[in-house]
Amino acid sequence: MHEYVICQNLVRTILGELEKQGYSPSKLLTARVVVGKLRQIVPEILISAYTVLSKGTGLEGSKIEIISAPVWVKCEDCGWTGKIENFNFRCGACQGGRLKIFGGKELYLKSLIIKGDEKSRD
Amino acid sequence: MKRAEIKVYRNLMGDNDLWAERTKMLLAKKEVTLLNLIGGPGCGKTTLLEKASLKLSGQLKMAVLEGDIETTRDAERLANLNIPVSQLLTGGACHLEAKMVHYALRDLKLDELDIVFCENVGNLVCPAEFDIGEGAKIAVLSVTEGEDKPLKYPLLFREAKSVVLTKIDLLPYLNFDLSLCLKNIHKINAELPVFPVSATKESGLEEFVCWLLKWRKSASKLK
Repeated sequence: MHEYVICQNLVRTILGELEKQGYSPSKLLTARVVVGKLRQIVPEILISAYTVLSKGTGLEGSKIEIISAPVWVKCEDCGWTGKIENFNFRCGACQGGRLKIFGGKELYLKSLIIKGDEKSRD
Repeated sequence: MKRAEIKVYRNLMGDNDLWAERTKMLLAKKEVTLLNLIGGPGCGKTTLLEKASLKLSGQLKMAVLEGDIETTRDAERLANLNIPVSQLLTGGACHLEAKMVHYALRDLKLDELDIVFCENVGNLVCPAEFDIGEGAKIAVLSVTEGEDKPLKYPLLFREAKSVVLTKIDLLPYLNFDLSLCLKNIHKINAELPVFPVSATKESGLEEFVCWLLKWRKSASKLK
């Protein structure tokens, strides 16, 4: 259920960014959120949390789109760099397990899609 | 309808990460190590702390932050052993966040301590997501939970610096495949040290405490 805590931050962040950029919250259509595959965040729960927590904030009716980010690793033995699937933490070249993770833990608000163009601020 | 995309790139763990960073700075100044103990409900985290405290006595001065949804039972158990302890009640939340841990740490006499164990809320999922400013996460898994848990909860076993496998005195009564469990842990994290322990029978604790002392020494050298 930590999705609700994260979603509280998300709603706060979206409102703050819209205010900073001079847009009314009702202008928001979709917020794009990047979630790394190593994060134990269930997209469906985050989406339903957003529906609940955006109610009455001016963001009501807008949506979030979750973009899944793959797990990228570098092998500390042979230097291989690549993506891994299904938590199979093995080097794609030497099959070693000494891997350094450099992608897959992302959790950030990437962009806001708003009605109108960038010049039509409220 | 015209639409425009505004790029923002804003971290969504913002506040939590900020408090975690503050905690790291505070602990570095005070030369205190914070360990985040994460495991499911009933896996034996409190018993492990009770018994490990006896082994650490005379070597390190320790305190405990007890994270629970309700009751002060665990804190009372540790206070009975004269361990300085603060109870953190989340009132329903499934994990501890950096801000509450930071405030609880400030209430401890940090100048008189070397190490603080934070026993997180019993849960293998959410606590692994939240940095509380710890030096290391330690995963606690009991043999009664099954050997497949490292595969089901990979983030914790990826983030942890060691695993304590508890209740091994129960192995003769369970269909638990110890070598398969170790294989599963190392599938997620090839170099993770695992310490099979029976806290009630006081076996395996020496090895865990020894690792802890060594790890603490090497971590403080890196600063």
